[in-house]
Amino acid sequence: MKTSISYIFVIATLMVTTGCQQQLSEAGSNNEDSLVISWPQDIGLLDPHGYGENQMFAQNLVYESLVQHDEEGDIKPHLAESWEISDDGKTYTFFLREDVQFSDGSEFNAENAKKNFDAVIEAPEDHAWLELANQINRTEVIDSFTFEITLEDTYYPLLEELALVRPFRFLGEAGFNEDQQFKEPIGTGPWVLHEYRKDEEAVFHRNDHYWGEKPEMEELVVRVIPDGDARVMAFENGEIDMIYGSGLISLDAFDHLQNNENYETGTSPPQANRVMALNSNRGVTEDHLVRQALIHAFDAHSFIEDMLYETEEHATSLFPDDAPYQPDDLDPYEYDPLKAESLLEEAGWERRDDHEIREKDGQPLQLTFVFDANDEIQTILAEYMQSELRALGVDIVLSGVDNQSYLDAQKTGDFDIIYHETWGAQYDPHAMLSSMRVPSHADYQAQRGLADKDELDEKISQVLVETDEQQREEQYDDIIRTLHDEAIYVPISSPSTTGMYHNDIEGVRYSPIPYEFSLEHIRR
Amino acid sequence: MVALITRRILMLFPSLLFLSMFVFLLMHMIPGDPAQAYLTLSQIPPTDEAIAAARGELGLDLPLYEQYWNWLISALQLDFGTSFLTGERVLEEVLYYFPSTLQLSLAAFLFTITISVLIGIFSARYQQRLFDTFSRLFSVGGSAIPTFWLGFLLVYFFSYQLGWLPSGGRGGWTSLVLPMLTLSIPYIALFSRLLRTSLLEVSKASYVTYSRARGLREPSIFRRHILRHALLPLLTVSGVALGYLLAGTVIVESVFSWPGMGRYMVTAITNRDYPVIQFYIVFMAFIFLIVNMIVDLLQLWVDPRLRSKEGSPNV
Repeated sequence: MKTSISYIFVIATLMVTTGCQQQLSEAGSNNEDSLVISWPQDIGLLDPHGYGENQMFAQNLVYESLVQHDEEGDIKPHLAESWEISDDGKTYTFFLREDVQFSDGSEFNAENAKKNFDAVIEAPEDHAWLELANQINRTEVIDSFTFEITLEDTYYPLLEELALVRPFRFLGEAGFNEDQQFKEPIGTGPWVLHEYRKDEEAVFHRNDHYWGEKPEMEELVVRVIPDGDARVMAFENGEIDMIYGSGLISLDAFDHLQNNENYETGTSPPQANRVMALNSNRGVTEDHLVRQALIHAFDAHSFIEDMLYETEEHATSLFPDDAPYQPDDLDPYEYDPLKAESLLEEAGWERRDDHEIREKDGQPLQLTFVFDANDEIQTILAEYMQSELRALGVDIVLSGVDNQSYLDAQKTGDFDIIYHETWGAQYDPHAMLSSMRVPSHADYQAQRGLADKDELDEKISQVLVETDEQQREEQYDDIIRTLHDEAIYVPISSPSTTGMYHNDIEGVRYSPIPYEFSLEHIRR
Repeated sequence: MVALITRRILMLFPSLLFLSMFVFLLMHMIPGDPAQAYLTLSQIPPTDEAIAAARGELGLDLPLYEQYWNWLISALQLDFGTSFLTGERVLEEVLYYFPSTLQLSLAAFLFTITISVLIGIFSARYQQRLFDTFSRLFSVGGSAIPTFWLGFLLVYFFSYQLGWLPSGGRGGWTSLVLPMLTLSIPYIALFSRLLRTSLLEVSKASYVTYSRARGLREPSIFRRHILRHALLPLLTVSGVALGYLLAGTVIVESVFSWPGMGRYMVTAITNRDYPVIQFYIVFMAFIFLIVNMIVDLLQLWVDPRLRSKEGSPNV
């Protein structure tokens, strides 16, 4: 019996040690021509038209779009050199660059553009969220490098939506299988997927066929590290060169790294806004005065300084100041506790001498704040809000739930205050406003109590198909101003992409678009 | 004996059936919508149409009993569906992740048993001496320390300060050492103490005194009479421990970026990826039941006295 047990041990030990023969690539700070970053999830299959596990930043490394946003957020040519729009605004003719090759050396042309567009519009269920996918009526090859799109109606955000990371990007012919579905990643972008081990690492190489400015580094390694603290350890240990993205590490860790002279840090321009939405359709926050008081009671500057270590910019309205169509003369709600107090008094919420919490008709001033308890920033925000408002005699009940339950609360409107974010540079304001008309969104629920909600929705529907630029600007101004005056949102801050890297690294740039990582200029 | 094994194997089916039904019900009772989770994860704005389309695609618009029935019928043909999230077959994904978890758990298990037996024997032999005191301290500390913190401590010393071992990833054997230690230490703390107590108890048993009286040599008494009997409780708990190790690598996998089942499961739970959660729980239950069965049989083999109670279902 003893010998058989020993055998089992020996065999098991052999199994265990031989199981790990796979060697991770020798990339790291010791390889001059390689940049190692990390990401919490696996990059996915890298299907340019796919969602789910496909990580947007990785899709953006490999695939390109017809047009792109420049640093100011304006549309500029990319794979399309220029375009013409018909008088009725329904036909777009794109003149493609003639020097573009896929990473396998094949040519990018109008045929390929049509094939990719058709692949997207032939799967309407997958892309229904994007209005453009529903609007495209017909695609046509005019000649080798001229490609035409005809729309159902005039749809002004067309170019904006073509610039998105997905789905309107281009997969090479050899990347499709027999059923014309995605087979393997072949793109025209600056990087090519060279090696891939699911949930371990993905190694990208410079695309030698790239038409634009080629990346400085030969190799880009993306290591999958799910835990933020483990990521910081690996970074300090020199196993990864750079932490790049939003919310990848805790703010304490960020503070710790920022104060270390061996590392450099930087941030992108603001990309979206964090806000709190106040429910105009429920309880105490039905009262406009109370909502105004809550906005005046929140000290965003101190929150950003003390809790976010000044990693984010202060937001003054629902959308970031540089978002298209954002009015620049909105009266900001300054932090003013005295004013907040007098507004609450005016609304009838009085503080009795012996009571800490304000009351009206015997009811205490109590609000439920719903947030995702797994999100560190949401949690500290809720706690901060609770302690701030306590001083004003407002009792905030914290309802920290898991992400799915948080989404549920958004849908049902079961909240007084809820944490919320705008959708980011390419979607604000048009896509975000569009969603405000849909009952499953926190915005709809929060705005539902407004007397003119129906009218507001009607205005949003109009602005999305308005063709006259002047008119459109006025309509947007009106909508955004109404939301601001109705005090539905408490603006907090604008998150951005943060970069932390060892100081032998140079050329780090930041895009105003989340998930568009500019890693091409990095060198050592 | 054969009848017993057959009966135990047959018992697996109703257990698994009941469990799968229970899990199915429970999963659908917790709040959250997998369709919406899928859309959120895909950065697709969750409009009502998008949610309805995703629900239809994922088969979530069917009544619950129909969903379960469909699952059961395919599961009987070893088809456990496709992940809502990745669109890949659950079985294939599990076959990808399970070997890494098995490797880590087995390594930790073997290490735990080896070290626990050594510490247990030494602290029993040198009872109340320095080694025993030291091992008691280790035992208290080791079982009280939270796993994730232990993991970071080990990384800090062996990886960051000393630079001996990688801080994470699944590379050569060096990358196995730290996660294995992190998993093992709490169990070693527990098992070594258990074995020590058990050794001391058995050495006071009358048959040990009797063998001494018969003039048997001390090493032989220790091996054949003391150790063999003292290992019995360890055998029972280690069976359970193997199950826990397999199922409980979640934190360690996350701290050490180890691509295993734990992480796969956590992602599945946060995203309400029903097919994955369903399969994982049934699969882990299956392993638990199998491991328990093997432990029971091993016990019968090691301690013939138990065989007389063969008929009892508790064996």
